[in-house]
Order: sequence, then C-alpha cells, then structure tokens
Amino acid sequence: MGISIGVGTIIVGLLISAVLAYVLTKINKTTGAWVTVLAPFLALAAVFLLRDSIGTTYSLFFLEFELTEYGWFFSMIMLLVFACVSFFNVYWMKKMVHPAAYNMLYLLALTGTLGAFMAKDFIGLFIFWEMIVWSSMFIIPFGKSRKASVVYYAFSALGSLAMLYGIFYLYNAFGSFNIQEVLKLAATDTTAALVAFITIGIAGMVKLGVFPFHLWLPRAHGNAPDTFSPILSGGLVKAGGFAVFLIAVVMPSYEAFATQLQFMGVSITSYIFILFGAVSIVVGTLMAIKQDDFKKLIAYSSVANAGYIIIGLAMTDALSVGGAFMHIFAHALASAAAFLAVAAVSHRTGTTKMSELGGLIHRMPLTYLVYLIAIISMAGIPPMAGFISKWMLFQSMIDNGMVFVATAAFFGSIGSFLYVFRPLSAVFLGQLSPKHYKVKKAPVLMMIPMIILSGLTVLFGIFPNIVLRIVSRIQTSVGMEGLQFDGTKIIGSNGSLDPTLIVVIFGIGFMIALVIFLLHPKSRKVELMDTYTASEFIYTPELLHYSHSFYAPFERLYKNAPDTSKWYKAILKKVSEIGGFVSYAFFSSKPRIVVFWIVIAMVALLWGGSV
Amino acid sequence: MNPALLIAAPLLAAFIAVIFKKIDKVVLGVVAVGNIAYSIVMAVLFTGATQIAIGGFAPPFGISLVLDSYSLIGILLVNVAFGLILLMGTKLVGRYGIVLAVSLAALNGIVLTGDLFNLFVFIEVAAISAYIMTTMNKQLKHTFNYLILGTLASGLLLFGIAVLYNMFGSLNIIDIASKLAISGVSAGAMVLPIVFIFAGLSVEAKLIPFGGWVRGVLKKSNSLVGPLLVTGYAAAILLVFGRLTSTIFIMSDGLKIALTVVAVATLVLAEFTAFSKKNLREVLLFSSIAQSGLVVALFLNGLTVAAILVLVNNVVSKLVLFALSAKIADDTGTDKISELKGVFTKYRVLGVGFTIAAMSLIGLPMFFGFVAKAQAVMSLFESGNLWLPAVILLVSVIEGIYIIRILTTLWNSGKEGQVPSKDAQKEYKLNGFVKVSIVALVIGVLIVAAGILPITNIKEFLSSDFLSFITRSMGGV
Amino acid sequence: MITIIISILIALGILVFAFLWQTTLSGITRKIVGRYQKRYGPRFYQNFRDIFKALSKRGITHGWVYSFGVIMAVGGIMATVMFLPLFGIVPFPGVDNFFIYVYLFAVGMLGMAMSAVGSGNPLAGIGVMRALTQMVGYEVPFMIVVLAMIYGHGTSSLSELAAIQQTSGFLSWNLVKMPIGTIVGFICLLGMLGKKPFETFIAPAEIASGPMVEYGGKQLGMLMIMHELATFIEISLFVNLFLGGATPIVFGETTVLVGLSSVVGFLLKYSIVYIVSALISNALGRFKIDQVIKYFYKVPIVLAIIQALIVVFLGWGV
Repeated sequence: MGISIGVGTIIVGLLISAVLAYVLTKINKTTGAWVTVLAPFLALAAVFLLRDSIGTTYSLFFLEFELTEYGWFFSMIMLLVFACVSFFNVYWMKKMVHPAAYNMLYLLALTGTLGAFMAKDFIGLFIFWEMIVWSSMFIIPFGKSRKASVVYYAFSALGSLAMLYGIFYLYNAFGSFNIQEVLKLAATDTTAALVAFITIGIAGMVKLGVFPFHLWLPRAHGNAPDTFSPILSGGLVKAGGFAVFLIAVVMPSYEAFATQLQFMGVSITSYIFILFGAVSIVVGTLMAIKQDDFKKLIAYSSVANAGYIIIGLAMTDALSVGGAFMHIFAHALASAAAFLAVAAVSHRTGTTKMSELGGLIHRMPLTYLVYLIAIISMAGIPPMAGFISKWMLFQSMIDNGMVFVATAAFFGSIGSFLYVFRPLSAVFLGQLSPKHYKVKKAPVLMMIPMIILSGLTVLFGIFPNIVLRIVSRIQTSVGMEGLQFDGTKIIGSNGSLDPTLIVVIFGIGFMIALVIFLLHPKSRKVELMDTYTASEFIYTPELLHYSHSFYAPFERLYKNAPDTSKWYKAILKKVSEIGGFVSYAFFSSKPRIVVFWIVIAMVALLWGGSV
Repeated sequence: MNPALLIAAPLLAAFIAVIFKKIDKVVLGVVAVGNIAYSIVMAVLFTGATQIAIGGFAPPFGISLVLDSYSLIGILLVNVAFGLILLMGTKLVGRYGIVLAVSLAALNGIVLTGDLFNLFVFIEVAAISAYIMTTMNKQLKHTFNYLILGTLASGLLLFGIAVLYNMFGSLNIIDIASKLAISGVSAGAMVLPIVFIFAGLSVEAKLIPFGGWVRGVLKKSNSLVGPLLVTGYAAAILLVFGRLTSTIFIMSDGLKIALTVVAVATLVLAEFTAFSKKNLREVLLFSSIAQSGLVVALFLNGLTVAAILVLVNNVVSKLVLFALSAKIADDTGTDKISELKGVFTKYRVLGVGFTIAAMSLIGLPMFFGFVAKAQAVMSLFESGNLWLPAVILLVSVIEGIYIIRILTTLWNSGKEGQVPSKDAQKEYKLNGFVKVSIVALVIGVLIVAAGILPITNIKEFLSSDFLSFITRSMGGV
Repeated sequence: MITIIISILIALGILVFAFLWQTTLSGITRKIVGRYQKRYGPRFYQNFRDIFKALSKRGITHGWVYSFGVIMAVGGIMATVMFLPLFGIVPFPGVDNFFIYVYLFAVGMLGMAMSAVGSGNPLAGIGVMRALTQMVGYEVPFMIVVLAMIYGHGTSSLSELAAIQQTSGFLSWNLVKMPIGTIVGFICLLGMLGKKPFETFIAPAEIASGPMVEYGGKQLGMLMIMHELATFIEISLFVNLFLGGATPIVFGETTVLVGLSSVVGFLLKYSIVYIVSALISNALGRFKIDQVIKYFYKVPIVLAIIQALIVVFLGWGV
C-alpha cells in the first residue's frame, strides 16, 4: 500500500466518488448506482482500519480532522447505514427524474456526516453539517413532496444557525475554533457554557427531531424517496446525537453547570433538555400510533427514540450515556432495517399506505422477518439491541428518581408495542388482497442489506458488550467513568443484565415449545379466508382485514390534543401577514402614501436623534 | 491613473451614440468592456488612496474624485455588474443605449466622487436615467411614482447637503470630516443634515418606509432594468452610505439607535414580505431590500468590511437570480413560482447557476454568502453586539425558507404528494438561454471559489487586520 | 459451566412447578367460582384435561406464522418463568432484573399477537389491538410504582426486592410501606390477568374471544399452557414485589421447618391473590376499551406518581 489512508483520503475519495457517480449515472444509470454501493463499503473498511490510529489528526488542504473515539463510533454507524441502504439505489434509478444528481447528493451527504464527525474545529464541523443539510434537502423533493423539503430546511436552518451563533460566540470569547479546546474552556465559564449548550443543543435537537422541532421528521422521512428515508432516520438524524454529545459530555455539562440549581441529580439546564426529550417520547408515540402511512409511522417513532437519546446524553452518567450510545446504534440499525422493509414493500406494491396492504407475509416472508426483528429492537424487547439500551436508560432514570421523565419513557416504551405492531399486522399479517396475489419476493440484492442489518441487530442484542466496550472507551476518552462489565454481564447501578444468558434461556424455552409442537399431531393447512365469521359468508379478503384506523378507541382519546404544526403554521402565517401588510402599506403605488410614511419616519428620526 | 475616465468614457459614448444612432449598442458594449478593463487595471496598479482634482482646482475647493480601495471595490462591482447585465440582456437594449451609457457614467461618479454636491448631481443623473429605463417595463404609472419619489429624495438630499455647507462652508467630504474633528460640532447639531441625507439616500436604497416605489417598478421589470436597479444602483447608493457614515455621520447615540432601528426594521420586515410573496421577482426584490437594510445597519455600526462583503454577496447573487428570473419571466410569460415547476429539469446549467447564487444568498458554507455572513456576525460580536447577530441569523431562516421553496419547486415537476416524473413535466421554452447560462455558471464558480478561499484561513479572515486595508483607507487620504 | 447447567436445571424445575401449580390452582378456582355462581363446578384437574385434549387433537393452521407465533409465545413465556425466583431460590442470581420480566414477557405476547393476527381473522386483530391498548393502560402505572420501589431499595433484582421485605416481618412488606403503590399494583394486576372489569381483549360475547378466535388443536393447547404460565409470572411478580415474597409463616430455629413454611406462605399469598382476583372478575362487568384507558390514566397513574413522589422526595417507604 503506497498511500496511507487517513481521514483526508477518505473524504477526498468520497468527494471524487460523488462526482464519479454523477458522471457514470449520466452514462449508465445502474453503473452509477453501483458507485454509491462501493464507495460507502470502501469507506467503511477504511474507517474500520483507522481504529488503531484514533487520536491522530489529519489535514486536508485547510481542513483539520481529528479521529476521536466518538467520531469513529458515529462514523461507523453512519457508514454501515449508508453501505447497507445503497443497494436499494440500484433499483430506484429508473424511478427517478434526476438519478445522477441523486447519486451524487447521496454520497455528498455521506461525506458531510463523516466530515462533521471527524472535524477538529467548529468551522469544519459547520461546513460539513450544512453539507448534510443541503445535500439531503435536494434529495427529499425527489420523493413525494416539495413542501417536505422546505419544512426540513426550515428546521435545519434554525438548528444550524443557532449553532453558528454559538460557534462565533465561543470564538469571540475564547479565540479558537478547536472543538475540544473551546468546549473545555467554555466549561469554566458558566455563561459561555450556557450559550454553547443552548445553541449547539438546539442544533442537535433539531437534527434528532426532538420536540418541539420534530415536525420535519414525518414530513421529510415520510415523503423522501424510499431509498433515502432509511438514511435520514437511521443515519443523518443521529448526527444530532453527536451535537448533543459534544455539549453534554465532551464539554462536559456536569462540570459547567455544577454551580447551577441541581434537580433530580442533574443541573436545571440539563433537566430542561431532558424534559424536552420526555415530551418527544410521548408526542412521538401518540402520533406514531395514529399514522396510516407506514413511513410516517416509523418517522414518528424516530421522534420518540430521539427522546430517549437526548435524555440519556443529558443525564451524563456512565450508564445513561452508554445507553444513549447503544440506543443510537440500535435505533440506527433498526430504523434503517424497518425503512428498508418499507422500501421493499413499496418497490413491489407501489404503496406505503397500511390500509391498502395486508397479508404480505405470504409473499415476502423474509422482508417480514426483517421488519419483525427491527420492531422487536425498536420496542426494546430482548434479545435485540434495542432492549439493552432501554434497560440502561431506565436504570439511570430510576437512580436519579426522575419520576415524570420515567413515566414518559415507560409510556413510550409500552406505546411502542402499539405502533410497531400495527404495520406488522396491517401490512404483513391478515388477509392478502387479491391485487397483491402476484407480488413477488423482494429481490436478492435488497435482501442482502436487510439481512446484514437484522443480523447485526440480533448479534448486538446477544453480545452487546462488543459495542459497549467501545462505548466504555469513548466514555473514558472524554474523562467520564466508563461502563462496567463482568464477562457477558453489564453491571448496572441497581442490577445487572446478562443478555447472552437471556438468549440462552429464551432458546431453551423456544426449544421446549418446539418439541411440544412437533410431538403433537400435524395441523391441517386451511386457506386464510377459511376463518370464523359468525356464520356469515364473506368472499372479499379486504373486508376481512382489520387495518383501517387500527387503534381507533385509543386515538379517540387524544383526538383533540393540540397540534404542534399549527403553532408553526400560525407563526409563519403571522410572518406572511406582516409581509402582506408591509407590502400593502409601505410599497403602495400611490406616492402620497409613501410620502406620508417618509414624513412620519423623518419626524421620528429627528425626534430620536435629538433625544 | 485617472478614474475620471470611468465617468467620461461612458458620457462620451452617450454623445457618440446620439450622433450615430445605429452603432449605439457597439459603443455601449465597448465602453462597458473598457470600463471593466480599466477598473481592473486601476485595481492592479493601485498604490494608495489619492484624491484627484477635476478641472484644475485643488480640493477642497474644486470637485474631486476619491480613489481609495473602498471606491475601487465600488467601481469594480458597479462596472462588472453592469457589463454582465448588459451581456445577458443585450437584446433588450434597443433604444436605450444612450440612457444606459449615461447611467454607467453616473454610477461610477456616485462611487468615486468626493464632493457632496457632485454626489447629488450624479445621483440625479442616475435617477433620471433610471426613470427612463423603467419605461421599458411599460408600467408608466409606476415609473411616474418612482419619478415623484426620486425627486422628493433629491430634494431631501439637497437640503441636507445645503445644511452641511452652511455649517462647514465646504462640500468636500474629507474636508468636512477633518473640520468636524477640529471644530467639535456637537452631535446634536448634526442630526438635521444627517436625517435629511439619510432619508434622501434611503429612497434610492429602498429602505422601508422610504423606498415605496420599488415594488411597482421592479416586479415586472425585464432582465436588463431589474438586475441593474437591484445590483448596480443598490451597490452605488449603499457605498455612499458607507462613505458618509464613516466620515461625516457623527451621530448621537439616540440617532444611531434610531437609524439602526430603521435599517434593522427594513431587514426584518422586508424578509417577511419576501416570504409572503409568490412571484420570483417580487421575492427577490424584497430580499434585496432586506439586504440593503442589513448593509446599512452594518455601516451604521462602523463594520465596513462586513457591510461590503454582504453588499458584494447580495450584488453578485442577486445579479444572477434576478437576471435569470426576469429571463424566465420574459420567455414563459409568468414568474409565479408555482407555475414554473421543474423548469430547471430542462435547463440544468441555468438551474445550477441559479442554485449556487441562491445558496450563496442564504449563506451556506462553501459559498461566498457564508463568508459575508460570518464576517458580519463575528464583527458584531466583537463590537459587543449580541442581539443583532441573533436577528440576522433568525431572519436568514426565513430567507432560507423562501429561497428553498423556489429551488425545490423549480427543480422538480409533479404535483405535491406525487413522485416527480418525466410525464408530468411541463414544457418550457427559453430563447437564447445559453449565454445566460454560461454567465450564471461562471459567476457560480466564482462564488464558490470566493466562498472557499477565506475559509482556508478563517481566523485571519475574521480578524480585522486581514481586510484592514479597506477600513484604513476609508478614513482619510 | 457446571453452575450454569445447575441453574438451568433449577430453572426448569421452577418451570414445571409453575405449570403444575397454576394449572391446579386454576382448576380449584374454577370450582370456587362455580360454587360462587351456585354451580357444581368442574374437577380441580379439569384444566389439565383441557390442555391435553387440545394438544392431542388435529387442528388447523393458517400458515407458518400461525404456528411459529405460538412457539415463540410459549418459548418466551417459558423463558420468563425460568428467570423467576421461587421460594427464595434464584436460578440466575444477580440478573433477575425486574425489566427482564416486563420485556421478556413481551416476547411471548408478541408471538401470540403475531400468530393470532396471522390467522387472518379480523376479530383476532381487534383482540390484539385491545390487548395492546390495555397494556399501555396498566403497564405504565405498574412500572412507576416499581420505579419507586427500585429507587427506594436500590436494587432492581426481584429476589433482592423480596428479601428486603423479609427482614422484619409483616411491617417490612411493601404492602405496608407503599400502600398506595400496592393498590395500584393490584389494579394493574387485574389488567394484566385480563380479569373483569379489564377483560376487553377476550370479551367472548363481543369479539368471540379475540386473539383466541381461530385456535384449536395443539396450538390452542400450547396457548393454554402459555396462559397458565403467564398468570404464574404475573401473580408471583405481585407477591414478590408487594407481599414480601416467600415469607415463612412459622418462626423458629429449625431451618427446614421455616423454609417449608415460607413455601407455604408464598403459595398461600399466591392463592389468595389469584382467587380474590377471580372473584372480583366474576362480580364485575366489563369496561369498554377506551374506558379502560381513561380509567388507568385517571386513577392508578395518578396514585402511582403520588407514590413515587412520596418515595423519591419524602423518603417514606424505603
């Protein structure tokens, strides 16, 4: 190997491959799509190999990179998601109006995330952060909605400009852009720390989709091209976790706000962030329950999960931060897999509306299993990775005695059973509609990434310590206590968890059940329509499929709940109205009115000047 | 090198064109190119700030032109913008060659002059040529409206200048500035002239509530007049603001706050208005007004470098955006955003140029706009102002929303709620878009280059030393 | 390795005991309920008969998920039982975390829900919908109470939580220390067991037994086993959490006697809780599902939060 691979090389390589993807797609669509498959895989391998050189700084022209423990971790997640999802691009080329642009922007988004995670200074972070924003902003309108992209940009801009304010505030105060250095300095100055915490925190909250900035998720995820929703939900959103991690743990907030009022074991500022997380969990859960669109449902579930992540990070103890990291990882895998399952379904049936689907398990069994594993993880049920993270987060919440936050978290956790089960029931189980009789299995190339993601979800549910040891190193690298292990056990503060044992025991239980099942007479296979119908004769499968407004009795209870989007709409309406008024009053086509205003203004100025 | 040539040459061209009507376009073109070349040469050979006397009288008695790096930036900006606009809208010149030449002379004069009365004259000339040019839009009522307000503005300006002359017995800006320093005139006494000059200039600079004429004139303007008024004229007038605020505007705190309020209110309200608009040109014109407000606010706070950067960004990106919008409007018959779905799908190069300019306007990093915004925010922080950066950043969210709304709509055909498809594509036909596209693309490349270069050494860029040659050269000769 | 195998054997023992005990108790309770309703009632081993009869019949299947879900359901519930401490014997000490029971239990529930909906019968879908909705109702208050308990006692291990209550007799029971929590816990237990007034998801007269509507043959038999085991988990959780677990009823020096009496003590408490809940079920009518949610989010959750706040802020009940 002549060239030593560094972060700079990877970034440049990705940029080149983005251009290459554009050019090749112009020549041949499929070839271009394959570039988007290969590039993330190569980058994944390269970043993986960089494991040993953590702590090294790299420079690329004027940009400085530093490979930190957490940067590496986030990058790996991101690359994994991108690499897996990219297989789907191959199938979507024909459906796009701008395939070349899509492929290029896809890789640029990846470059943006890697650059942001590895940037040494804030300017680099910001440049790449915005690169994520605009590259995805152009991809989203390739899907079903243009408005979604505008909403996405509006929230993202709010976040990134808040961050920009913080960056310059800190630069003005400390004269440096170096992330580590500035944050450490900020921790000694409560005001600066507060500004950094709020501004960069808002950027993180917006990206994560934490209440009240969650509205872009259902719109963007729900309407983006089916191949890009998994990237958004599994990948890009997690960059928000990175930003929150910077201010909560790297800074660290527990030192910066040590003099503040402490409440439930954390400073009041952190507690407010945690409360936003708690509200997100509740709002995300309730909204997810009532969605009919498969993608919007998962998008809202991402809102709920963002709540867990921000709670974990803001609590800043070893278990909670470890839990948050595990949750970021587990949710990235699970939501990417779930969205890929949706994409596969959408590819074969052309719809993502749950009420139009049903019984697909009989046509797409593997996709069903992928979705099943994904939702088990999302709902935090063992033996999947999502269980480990939730368990760790619950431990911290209980230790701090956060009753209300825990109430929200428990509600979200149980509520997730509801919303993850709905697609399972409405899309995959139940009656198969005759119009889907001829639906085929998902293509092999689509199965590969889905199986990889599901496999990893299960693997890290059984052996989470593989990930948690890395997390523990991240924690010690930023100067906090690391997670404790004992063999396959994770040592918690009020109890331990042995995921491997759980799986063994579950395996035994399953084997016993299987033996019981096999020992008894074989069942007779009957048709799906051959069911108990109270002696009525029904021949239409759709009529025997329970999928419309699935949780109607529950939804009824909160149908009058305030709608956050109305608040924003009201604000924008006011802005628009003021604009209309300005246009009408000051830009009149009657000169006398303008002269009137000029006189008024000059009198006011003369008066103001003489004061 | 005598900068007077920049004013004289176009005037001469105008005369030639009067005599030889048939070659007016050629003459205009030659002069435009010549002016660009000459200003570039001057920039290259620039050694230090000088005051050039005109007509043999030494300043402060005679009329003088000031050539410093500040006016150098001004003439570069004005001439290059003028040249590019002319290049993109050659076909529209028609009978207006003479007027355009005169306006070029006047704009150069505004930027260069060091004499207040001379400034007034150039502004008058520029305004009159603008009135004539706006008749191209065939919206005579609005032109008339512009004429009335422009005349009022001239009156206000003249009154302010007269008061100053009465106070100091001089019209030379530098002379007045030095006398101000010596005599120690109280800030209170300066309120009257400052407010009148400010008001007079604000009409041309389109600040709210002074620039009431602008909507009627610009919302239907073609790809020649519109960009010219939005870029060249705006740049020249705003640069005058900058020169006056840094020299003779000795403001009491109350006045400074009052003027800043007008500027910031313009920024906020105009962005709100742009947000509420549905037509391309209307959105862009209100966006320009907002940027003018920002530039004036920065000048008032003494942040010349930041103000110039914001101004340059606005001029460059608006040049592209407005010219392309007007071009699209001219050829398709509408500039309603919702009726132009997917227009860039066919005209991709055009779209790329438009997109880069738009992204620079909203200040995304790697585009020039980010550099300008960073400088503005940072220098405000340095001057201890914490609220104005917040306002600037908040309104740029609003700005971003309407710009992105335009971009996503213009790039993607298809109904809301449906995946864009080639079948749903409306057919658009633009005439002679190649030249426009190339210009837009070249400017786009420059925007990106100018956006990346300063980031390579962002710290030095942000520290005032790096660009202090502009600030230093502002104060005196 | 040896310890693991011994642990697993113990766990299997608990599993077998749980099945035998709960199935017997169900039979007895059926008899009691019969007498309560002025019927003769079936024999106490009637439930065994039902299960074995169902297992031996040749039933139908609606596809692979219909059967796979049943296996997953039974497997999940069996695994949960195997983690349970019984009479102070802990098969897997240190990892008998409360949350394992909640979530491992959910595996079984998910399996059953999958299988039921996989049958293609909409009534099953409605039943599952109701079951899940009801779960949101009872689990949250229950978990809040347990949060208070874990916060107060500093451990989430079920056996340790039970052991703490055995230190100073009756007065150290959480029943005494956290009376409000215990009330909430019992109401939630009724919800978990699906006893009236929280019988929404079975509701034979409305939705033809909901999830169970399509079952017959061995699938039905296995689900009956699962039902008995699930009941065992729920009741022993309640007894261990609130009623002191396996507390002896005879005190003295002889360890064997004390040990045996603690077994009796546990089973006695268990029987009382189960029979009382069965009797309540037979005395009350059925809520509609939205009434269930409204109820749980009005009374038990408020009480649970009050209980938690008392523990967290006042330190009572620790």
